[in-house]
Amino acid sequence: MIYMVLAYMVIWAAIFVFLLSMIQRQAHLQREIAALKELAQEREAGRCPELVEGR
Amino acid sequence: MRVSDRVLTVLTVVVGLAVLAAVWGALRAAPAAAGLTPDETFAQRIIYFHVPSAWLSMLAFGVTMLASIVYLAAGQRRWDSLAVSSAEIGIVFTLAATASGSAWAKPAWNTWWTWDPRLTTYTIVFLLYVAYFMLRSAMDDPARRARFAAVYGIFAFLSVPITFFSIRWWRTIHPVLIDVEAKSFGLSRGMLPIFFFCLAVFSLLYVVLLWHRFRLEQTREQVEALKEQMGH
Repeated sequence: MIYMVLAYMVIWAAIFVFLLSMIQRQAHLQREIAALKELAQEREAGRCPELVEGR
Repeated sequence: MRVSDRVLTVLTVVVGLAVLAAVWGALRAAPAAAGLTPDETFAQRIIYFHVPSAWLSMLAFGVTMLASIVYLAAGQRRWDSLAVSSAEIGIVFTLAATASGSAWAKPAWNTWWTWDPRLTTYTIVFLLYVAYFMLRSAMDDPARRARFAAVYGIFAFLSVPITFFSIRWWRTIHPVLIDVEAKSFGLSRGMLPIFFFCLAVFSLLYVVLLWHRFRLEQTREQVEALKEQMGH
């Protein structure tokens, strides 16, 4: 019976690790998107005074 | 929430329930194999998940090959995303099938591993697709990476039918489940409904995993595009 349990555990572990890695990558990408958006806003805010000065 | 998100959520729940039903079917509902030692009888129930895992891996590599062909023909990035997403799922299930087969081999063959044609060719498949990811990671330019990976993905798939037919072409100790010449299955009538149910569940599991993984790949591409726009 031990071999059967072992085989099923291995299959579920593989699927679980894969799902976990997808969740982690998704979270990492969401953080990156948030950081990039923040950076874009900062740049936009920094650009505004220049535009005013340029007038 | 978009319609596609809702469909994916429903499908994910359905596949989760179906997998639970498959586990119950494989461990409880399927009849025990006759004429085996107690260890072998329990180990035989591995087949309900081992074969679908192997099937799923081959299906995934097949989709990688098809998506690679379409990418080369159409040049649209989404086909490359589909190819890489499917290849990753294929690798996971190649590992699952190999490891579960090894757990079956111990009581059946009295060894965890032997260089049998099926095991050897399947190991080659695994290594070829690991190399697929190494190739991709070695290139920074997305278009070049996609083009090279597509060509490689088409040729790497040649190893899959060789693995499938290896137990029919060469002398092997690996069981032949589908005997094409004799038009028969290596399972009793009572085992077949559960076996085919597990195959169907794993096929659905593949669709759901691919959908999730494809979305992840598209998000990654969006991040790459955003970074490019901002001059990173």
